[in-house]
Amino acid sequence: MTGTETVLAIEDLTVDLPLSGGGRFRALDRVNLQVRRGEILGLVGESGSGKSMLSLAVLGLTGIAGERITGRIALLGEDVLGLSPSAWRRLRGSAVGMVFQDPMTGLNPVRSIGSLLVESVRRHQRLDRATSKTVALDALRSVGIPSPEARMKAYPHQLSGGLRQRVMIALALINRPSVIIADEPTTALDATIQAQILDLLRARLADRAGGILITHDLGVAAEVCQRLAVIYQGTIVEQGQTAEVLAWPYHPYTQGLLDAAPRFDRPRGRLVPIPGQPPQPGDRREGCPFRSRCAHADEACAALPVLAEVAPDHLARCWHPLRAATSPFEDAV
Amino acid sequence: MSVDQAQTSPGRLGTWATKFGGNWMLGLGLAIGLLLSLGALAALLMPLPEAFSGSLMTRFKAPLSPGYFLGSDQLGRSVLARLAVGMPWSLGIALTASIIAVGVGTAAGLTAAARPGLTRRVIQHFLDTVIAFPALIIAVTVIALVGRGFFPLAVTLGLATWPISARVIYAEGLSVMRREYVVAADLLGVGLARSVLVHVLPAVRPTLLVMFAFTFADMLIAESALSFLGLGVPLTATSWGNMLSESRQYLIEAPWLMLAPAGMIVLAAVAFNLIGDGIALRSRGRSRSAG
Amino acid sequence: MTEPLLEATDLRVTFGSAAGRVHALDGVSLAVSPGETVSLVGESGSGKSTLAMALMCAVRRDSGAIRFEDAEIGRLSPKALKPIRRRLQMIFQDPYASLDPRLTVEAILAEPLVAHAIGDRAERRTRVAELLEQVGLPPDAAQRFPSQFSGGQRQRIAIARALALRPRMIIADEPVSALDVSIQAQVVNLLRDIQAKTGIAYLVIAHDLALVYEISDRILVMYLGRIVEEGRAEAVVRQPQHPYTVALLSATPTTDPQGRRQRIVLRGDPPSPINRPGGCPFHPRCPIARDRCAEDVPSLQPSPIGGRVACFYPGELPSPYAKEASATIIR
Repeated sequence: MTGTETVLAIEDLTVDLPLSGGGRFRALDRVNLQVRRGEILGLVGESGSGKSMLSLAVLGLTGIAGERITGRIALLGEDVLGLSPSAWRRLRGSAVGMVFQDPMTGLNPVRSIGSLLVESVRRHQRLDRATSKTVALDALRSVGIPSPEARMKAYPHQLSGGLRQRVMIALALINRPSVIIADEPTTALDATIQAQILDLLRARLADRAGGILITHDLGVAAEVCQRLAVIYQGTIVEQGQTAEVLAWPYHPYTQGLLDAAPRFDRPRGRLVPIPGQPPQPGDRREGCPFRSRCAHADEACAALPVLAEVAPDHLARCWHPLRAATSPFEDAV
Repeated sequence: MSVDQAQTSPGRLGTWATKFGGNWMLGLGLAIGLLLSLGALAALLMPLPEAFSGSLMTRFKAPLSPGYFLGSDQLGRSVLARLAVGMPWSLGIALTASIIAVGVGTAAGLTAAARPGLTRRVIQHFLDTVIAFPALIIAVTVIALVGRGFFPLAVTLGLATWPISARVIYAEGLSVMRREYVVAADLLGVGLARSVLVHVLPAVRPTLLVMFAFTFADMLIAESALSFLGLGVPLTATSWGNMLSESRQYLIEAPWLMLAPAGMIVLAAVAFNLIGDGIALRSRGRSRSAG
Repeated sequence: MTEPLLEATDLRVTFGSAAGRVHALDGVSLAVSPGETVSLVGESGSGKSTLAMALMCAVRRDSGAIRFEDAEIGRLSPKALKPIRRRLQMIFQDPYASLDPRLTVEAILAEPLVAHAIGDRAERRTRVAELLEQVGLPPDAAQRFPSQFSGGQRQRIAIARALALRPRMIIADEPVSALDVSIQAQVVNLLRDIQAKTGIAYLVIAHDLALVYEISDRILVMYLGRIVEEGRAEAVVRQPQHPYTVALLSATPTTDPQGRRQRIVLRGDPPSPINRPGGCPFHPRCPIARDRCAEDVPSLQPSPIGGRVACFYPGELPSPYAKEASATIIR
């Protein structure tokens, strides 16, 4: 199912942002991620982890005064970092699609659903109006919107949150992009609607595109993603196949997230919280970002660990991984 | 953020201009306002005989004449000195009127915001009715009935314009009343009056200051307009509006008689508009950086 | 069973709107015993937040009775309610909105004491220090402002404020849903510790069934202004009687690979309370609905496993979590 073609490669992406009180903080620190066609990568982190900064960077939607971005973002092998705003406008909606948490911010409130879809098709695919309309109808049908002909004339505010998110997904997919970025696409939705949208994302994303699903919820990532990257204070701390990362986490933060979340399949009792507070912008960063909240931290953690392969296709950034690494390079680390 | 840091990065020009612009408007407005207030205070304390007595010899001296920096009027009095003497009248009436307008407006606005139901409806209908009449017409009518003078004028102007403050404070207060921390206070058993004083009033304070600055500028102009129409301060007193009124007859031969008080009115009005805009911009910037 | 601390009978709340009357609460009855944690779970439009405000006597009710500590409080004037407020408190969802940004933490925590004229200045200061310690905040927090704290710490401040008057019960509307997962667990454990020490009762409003399962003694499931299932937490998760409960269970995302095997995904959106379907309100989305469900409204009846359920065909759908998995966490 998973192809071998890498549709999105993020290499050493580093983003420094200005702080309101002066100075800078590092929102992302040398992030490396690859997304292959047909694969959804889950990027899991809490507030202040930099996960949303990553989605903005991949969509060319940064542009905060005083920001500094270095590294490489390769979309289908072509470096897109530093493209002009007009070049980005051509890419967004055609090569890369986006789904946000709040569909109202992604959908123009004074345009009908149909006109939004048709315009996007015409702009990026240069089709005539009649053909574009057929494409738009197919797109609505493909995301499971009932009676699409009637919905074409509706305005975003006339739809429920779930339907709006379906329209947003239709819009993201309509020009067959190679990459989809979905930033907390179900966070604002009710549980039963969330389940529908996750099913839809799983079904529609995998068949032709690659995607990144950004979420704070390990459960959501587990439902949809083949691979998982856990991010903490701008740094990827663990990465690997979803099932493996969840079953055998090596990084104490990943384990901490699993222990802190309530689950039906565990006996009721005390949850195990992660002590301390999530990092704030401007917090000092030296060594392992998680060490101030980590039970295993010692002097070694004053230096930033490398993201080392701890098992085949499983990386962790920790001096004291929770289990012995099976990597042949273990001795070298 | 230091200034040179901002200048090195052109991308920050927008935010820089907003920030500095807010400070600049507020700073300039406050500086002019402060100078005017000091001038008014000085004029009250210092005898300025040249404002009240002149001679035929000193009539219609052009500005920049020796001893008459802004020239002299038809009775040979120094225009500069008369501007100074008029200051306490003009600024004092505007200040008193604004305090009344914003004070009554705040009380009515917050009462309407805090008490839904009959109280709110009564206040709203009353505001609608009062606002339907132009404030100046009300003021003219009342002054024609009660007579001229500092307090009649100040009180009348204040009472004619408070509904505008009340409307603004009501809208703002209503949105604060709906904030969760005000609801929380209610559920804690904190009384309504206390809740309004502790939570709502401080939250509307920036709006209140802005309203005050704008009202002050309006009152200044209203006082001048009424005096110009002969309905303002007594003819024996000196206010900028009176000076303007008297200058009409000498517009051709002595235009400075008109330009000097008009310039002061404009300067003071602009200063307080700057203060209002400056405060508005600053509090908006704050709430943005906080959110 | 002990005498309930809070008991509501047949609460009805309607709101007028341009589109007609909205039945936000359609005959809700519930009881909370001293020292108990009861949770209300439901989706948006289920009326769960309206129910919280109705129990606090903060929205107008069309009918129904509310008893607290053996006294009817539903018809009291705001003045007569004031002493009740001392013993029945509330925590809100958003710790950024529920604390006045202009007041110091000390002023925020002292506010309920001042309002009820408790203690002099020095005694209040001592009580504030006590409260800060109780919720795990440093003493110097008193002089700081809410903006200087993270979301989790702010929620601790909100909890401290609710505890200031030593209430017997707290109604908590989504107390942790605005917080990061790692912080949620801290706050949940804090609420538990407080309960263990003070014997306080909680009524928790939440949308997250997994969280509710973790913290509750009993769970009430709401749908369109009605309670559709009630039971002990363990029973509701292992042997849910109402198909909507089963759907909620299987819709909750999980990191557990077994939980993802069989699941029911409901079709369509929850209907709005404005145009409530006839018959059982859940029937248009129900996977096991039959003809009768479109005509008759099922009432809340005792269920075979000791709770209550409003369904003509209870217990037909199995829980995806019928058995607790062996509690092995591989390390």
